[in-house]
Amino acid sequence: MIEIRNLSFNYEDSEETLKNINLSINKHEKVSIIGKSGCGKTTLLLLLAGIYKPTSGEIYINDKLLTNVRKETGIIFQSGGLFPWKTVYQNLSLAIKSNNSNITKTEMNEKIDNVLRELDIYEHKHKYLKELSGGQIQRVAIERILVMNVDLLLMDEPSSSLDALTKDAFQNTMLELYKKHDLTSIIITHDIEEAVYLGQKIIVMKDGYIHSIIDNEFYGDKDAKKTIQFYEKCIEVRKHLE
Amino acid sequence: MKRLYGLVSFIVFWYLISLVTKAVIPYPHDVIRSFLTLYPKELHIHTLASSRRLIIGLIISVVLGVHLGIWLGLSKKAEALLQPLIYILYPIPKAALLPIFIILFGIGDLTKIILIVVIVIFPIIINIKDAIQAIPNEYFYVARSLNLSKSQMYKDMIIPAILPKLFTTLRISIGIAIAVLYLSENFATFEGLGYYITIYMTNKLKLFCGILALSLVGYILFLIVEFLEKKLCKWV
Ligand SMILES: Nc1ncnc2c1ncn2[C@@H]1O[C@H](COP(=O)(O)OP(=O)(O)O)[C@@H](O)[C@H]1O
Ligand SMILES: [Mg+2]
Repeated sequence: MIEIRNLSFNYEDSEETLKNINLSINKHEKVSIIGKSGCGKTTLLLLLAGIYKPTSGEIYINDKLLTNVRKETGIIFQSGGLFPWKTVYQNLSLAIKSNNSNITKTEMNEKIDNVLRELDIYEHKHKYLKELSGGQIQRVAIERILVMNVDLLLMDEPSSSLDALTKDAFQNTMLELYKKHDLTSIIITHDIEEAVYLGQKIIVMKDGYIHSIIDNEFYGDKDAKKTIQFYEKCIEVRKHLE
Repeated sequence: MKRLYGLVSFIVFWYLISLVTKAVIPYPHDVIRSFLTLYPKELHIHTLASSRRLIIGLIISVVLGVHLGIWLGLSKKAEALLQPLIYILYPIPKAALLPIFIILFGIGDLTKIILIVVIVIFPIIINIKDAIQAIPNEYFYVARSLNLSKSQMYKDMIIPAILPKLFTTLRISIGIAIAVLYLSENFATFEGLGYYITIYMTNKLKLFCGILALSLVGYILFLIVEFLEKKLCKWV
């Protein structure tokens, strides 16, 4: 699905942010990326989204050279990246229209209602973001992805502004969605448990390069966090980070 | 309700001041009574002239200032090119240039409007530029990833993002514009509340009727801005 070859990147007149990255990610694979703040995770994500162009090297998605943003790629940011000046409904309809400009109003309403019900926030349809909690905002952000029929989901620290309990709920929602929808998914996190809980593969980044790729046998087990082995895995990942 | 409370406390305050100053500042009931007779007789001409200059000046300032502010906020090149110039021009006391403006643009409305624009436009440009630069990068990324067209980008992101700041700036600008207008109407004109207030410096009642009229114009503009803000910035 994703093929990154000899990718390097630097922002205008600063030193290299990403250094010769090679990586392949299979179709429907769920990947976590973890690394210290400033190591280039967000930059890598923006490149994968087609928002920035590589300084050198290439990214292929479904065997096609990535040169621009793709309709089928969805992104969720830390704040959700929803527009606060739009209601839940308006945020979702903007996303749908951007993907499918000739959708009828009835089709659109039906689509929006369906996802709002799936994630249980139908009653907030016409609210602005300020009236929602952090967890609800993230669910709307997820919904915005679901209504767009994406095949690749990129998330940049989506749970980092949530409190511990909401974070658990968020992770469980993600796990359910992973099972229900055939997505390739990349989640950036600086939370080791989250990386182990939500990633089949855990990619550890350091100073702009990929330090290691760890296979994770605990992915997909809803009850993994109740086992010692899960935490042993977390300790293993932590060692790679140091 | 809040407005009624404001009005009542304003009038009580006014009475107190009149009492304390031993009617150097005339009592509200006297001023309001003369206002009601003077307005249809002569004040309305001056009020309309002032309102016209004020509104045109503010509209031109907003249209130009918002465009320039957006441009400066979005383009690093424009910022590098224009910002130093703006910072040099900003503190120049433009009101002192009024005689020059009169020579250049005549004694008509144009001079008064231009004086308002060259003063009010600066805070608008600077505030809008700041508002643009305060938009989180995430929103630009989202706009890119949703593949928004240029016009959608303005309509769905940039304009709404700067609106709250624009309204705040606008309210401040109204106050500045009124002060500037008062000054400019003291020169080379026979119409306008600034002129009216100055020629009746020695007629206390007429003087205060003029002040009341100018204040009302400002107050009504304030209410209009507040109304628009409530309508357009529900999400704040
Ligand atoms: N827009 C930008 N312009 C210049 N440098 C940037 C920009 N964004 C990030 N950087 C720099 O690139 C490096 C990697 O940043 P980032 O990808 O955001 O790291 P992470 O997401 O892992 O915390 C940092 O040193 C950061 O300062
Ligand atoms: Mg980051």
